[in-house]
Amino acid sequence: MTALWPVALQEDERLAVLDQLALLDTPGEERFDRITRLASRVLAVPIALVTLVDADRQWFKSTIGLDVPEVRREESICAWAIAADLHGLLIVEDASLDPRFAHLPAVSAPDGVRAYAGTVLRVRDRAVGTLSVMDDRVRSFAEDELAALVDLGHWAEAELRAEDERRLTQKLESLQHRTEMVLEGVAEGVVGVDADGRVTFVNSVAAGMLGWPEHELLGVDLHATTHARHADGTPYPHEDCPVSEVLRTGRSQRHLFGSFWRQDGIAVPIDWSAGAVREDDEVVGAVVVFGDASHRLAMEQLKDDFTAVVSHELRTPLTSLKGALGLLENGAGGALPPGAGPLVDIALRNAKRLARLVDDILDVERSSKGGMPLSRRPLNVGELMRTASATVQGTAMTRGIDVAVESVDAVVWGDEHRLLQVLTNLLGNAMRFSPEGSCVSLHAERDDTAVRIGVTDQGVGIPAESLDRVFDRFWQMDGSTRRARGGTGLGLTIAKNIVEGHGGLISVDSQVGVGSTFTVCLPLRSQDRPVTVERRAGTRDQADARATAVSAGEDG
Amino acid sequence: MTRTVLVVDDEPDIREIARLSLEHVAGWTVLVAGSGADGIAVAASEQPDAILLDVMMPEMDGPETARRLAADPRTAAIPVLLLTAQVLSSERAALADAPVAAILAKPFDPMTLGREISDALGWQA
Repeated sequence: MTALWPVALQEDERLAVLDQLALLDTPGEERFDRITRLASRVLAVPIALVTLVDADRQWFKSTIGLDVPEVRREESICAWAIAADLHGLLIVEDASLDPRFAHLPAVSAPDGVRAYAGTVLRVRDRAVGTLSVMDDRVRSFAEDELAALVDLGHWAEAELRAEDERRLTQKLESLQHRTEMVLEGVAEGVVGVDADGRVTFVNSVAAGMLGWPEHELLGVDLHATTHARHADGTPYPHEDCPVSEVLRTGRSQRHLFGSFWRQDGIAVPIDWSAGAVREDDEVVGAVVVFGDASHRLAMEQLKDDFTAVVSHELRTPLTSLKGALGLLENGAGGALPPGAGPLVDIALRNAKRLARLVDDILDVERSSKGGMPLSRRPLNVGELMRTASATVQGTAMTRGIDVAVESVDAVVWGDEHRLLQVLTNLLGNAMRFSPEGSCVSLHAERDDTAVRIGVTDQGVGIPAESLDRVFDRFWQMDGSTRRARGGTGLGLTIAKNIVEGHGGLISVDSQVGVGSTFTVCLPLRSQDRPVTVERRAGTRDQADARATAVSAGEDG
Repeated sequence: MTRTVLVVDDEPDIREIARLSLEHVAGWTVLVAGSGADGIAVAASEQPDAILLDVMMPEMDGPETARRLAADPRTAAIPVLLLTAQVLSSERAALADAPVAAILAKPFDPMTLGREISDALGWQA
């Protein structure tokens, strides 16, 4: 018959502690042997053991009077000590009479164990083993003998705990070493700040990039020291810094671009991100990771120059082509033979289309990062709308579409040419996707701070899943649309960039089969610096949800 | 009234289009030059009513040619118009302080180029 011991509470944790101790199967040690020697002498027993109870065995770290290294756990009395009474002693006067132990080989053997006393050894509040004594005679243990056993048990426990601490320290040191290696090995600058934005750690890449000795950065206010001015030298208030926002909200900030100031006063262009460090759900700091953006900026500049040069090289022959065809069409080269007119018309139309594409590519490049110069002056929105409407009137009549204008009296600070480009583009799109005989409406409304100009059509509409992408470069409804409707796929991107360059927002609302409304929201305040249009709560939720906010600041 | 206009552009095709446009559509007399230096020489000898100058030219660019025309007493009184695609930032920067009467956008429409020049210079049609 096999009597299974009751499984000790928290067996997994107990085994984890044992594993952490890493004493199983190690050679004997004097620090434990002196305890078993003393136990054997004080309690006058032939056998004394320091045992560790593993998952399926009991292993002896130190033995007196026993020459086996381990026994199976189900054949062990100590396993019962651990399971039965985690905090106390297990005392057996005659194991051969005890149904729990009588069948165990150690008991049933000739000259087997009769008396047993064991005290549980605990590390990190988990029972990992015992200090136990055994006798081949039936006997009882006196109170002072048991007290001595408990005391010796505490001693053994102290040795185990010392070992545990040594292991923990080792592990921590190794972890710390690894963390340091990662921090130093990472090719990006890494800076940690506490909840007040003070530097708690900094890796050497960061120190090198910021041009500060590491030790001088520790403890300083990161923003005040390296980030207190924008690239143009204007003050950068602490509260506007994305790190402050991370500390405030706990939300990570990614894909940031800005300037960090070196100790020698040079501004370094930086691509960076900031993440929150939490402790018990509380934001206790942030980690800033950054890299030098100079290379990226140089590559972008190269790309821009390339695009500009290529476009220019395309424009020159196109100018000749268009000009020559235009002159031909208008009889400057003499009367055209019959049948040549339509051919010249095809050539001219396509030359113009190619020229428009080249212009759009240039515009989208220039406008995408504020490179498009805006000649801003006070503009009457009503006049702007009427001019835009007049510009597209010819096309509208050709297509049998009615353009209705419902203007408003408002003045914005803008570039007339570029804003007209936006409105005519929106009107052109609206007409392109509208059936003959329908109406395109150009309407506006204003409040104290902003004017909203809308272009509404009764066209095919845009599927909901595409609404997020309509302002992306080269987005078209689909390939067939591109061919049939003749757009370049860049107009809305350019429009968005122009509107945002004015500190405004552009948004779209659409329903398939009903029509679309594009809304341009422009700030009314005339300031040199672009201001952001505040979103108004409760109105046009859908459009606002898709509107793209523009930050007036450098970062983000 | 018949005007005489000098077109300075290093691209022969563009020169030709501008010439055809101004001769056939506007009905003017057109002189052409293929470089800034040639342009200055022609302007000095022929005394045109206006000079249409391309910005991007090798060796001597439009703004530089305009400066030299303005500095030369023989040509200082002749109004200069720059034709620009305003593509490169360097190009835009160079335009800022060029001594010119007007800046026209390129590519130009050959059917309206003459009118644009007239409008810019206040000429009666």
